[in-house]
Amino acid sequence: MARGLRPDGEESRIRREGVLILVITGSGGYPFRRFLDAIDEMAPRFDLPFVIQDGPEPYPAKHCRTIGLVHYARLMEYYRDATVVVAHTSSGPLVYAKKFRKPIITLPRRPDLGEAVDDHQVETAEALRPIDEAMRVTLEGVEGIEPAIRKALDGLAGGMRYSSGTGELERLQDAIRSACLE
Amino acid sequence: MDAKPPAAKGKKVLVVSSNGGHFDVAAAVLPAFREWTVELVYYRLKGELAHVDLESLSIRKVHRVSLWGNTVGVRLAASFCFNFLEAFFILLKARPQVVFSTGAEIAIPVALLGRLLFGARLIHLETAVHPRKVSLTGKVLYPFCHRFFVQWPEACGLMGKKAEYAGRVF
Repeated sequence: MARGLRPDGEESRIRREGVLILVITGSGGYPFRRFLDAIDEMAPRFDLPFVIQDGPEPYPAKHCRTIGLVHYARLMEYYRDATVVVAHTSSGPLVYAKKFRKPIITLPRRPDLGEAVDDHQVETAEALRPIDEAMRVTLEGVEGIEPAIRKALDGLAGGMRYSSGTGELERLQDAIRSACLE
Repeated sequence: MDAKPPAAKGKKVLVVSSNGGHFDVAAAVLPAFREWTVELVYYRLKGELAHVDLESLSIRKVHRVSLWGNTVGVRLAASFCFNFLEAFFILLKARPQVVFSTGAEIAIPVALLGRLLFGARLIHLETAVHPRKVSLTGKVLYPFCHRFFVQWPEACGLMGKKAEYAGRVF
């Protein structure tokens, strides 16, 4: 069952309005408090609904709706309804934001702060930053989250979209299919 | 109740993936197997994490294997060993032509037995979140793979000639 400050009826209103900041922290079980604290602190300045996927440990949000861990299909609905995705630098949010053509802002979890088992998100972020694009921004610290969300919203208002792209995923799918047929 | 897509003609692909990012990577490349029969080997999990959306992902069936611990230890090691027995019976029933792995350790029993005992074609896709290293699962499976894909060009040099970069899921 969804948790958070807002009553369940609020969720349908959020969806009808069609502007929603979706915050994803994954299912790994490690805390990501500096990220969620920053999101919860900045949320009132946006006057937009923020929805946080905060499982497995509940996050005591003051200004955001929290949904905990949800079924895969339900999570896909949130991605579909999102306007901007803000997440840890993990495969899932990066895959699904691209799938649903949503701008994504990520911040890597740091193992030295007890936020991850190892430094794979830091490594991924370092590899992604040089190839960042308007629709995918990789941050170094929490101070970059609010400006990045504002820039993404402004960009969307100005017609920002995913480019037709290099077709990386499609090329990978084709290569795997060919590999099966050999 | 998950709706099961009908069986498709052509190849039968057994996708093996743990939950989390490994599954998200597998889900991203599933269109590669369009029109084929896809079955999934996945951990037996509790709560929301147990759910797999079979219909939207065109997965015909999910085979669940045991996971007795979440951290490295005796329980996890025991379930990993038991996974070999479970994998044998899954492969016996599924009889796939292709085993496709995205890791993590859940893939090792299915991939090795599928390749060595059941003659399946073995394809492994490394995770996208290790740009500068190859996973332990990848290192174990590499010698047995027919094709071994990495998701960063720089990672090709970390393994032998078989490692190839063909694109990334994001």
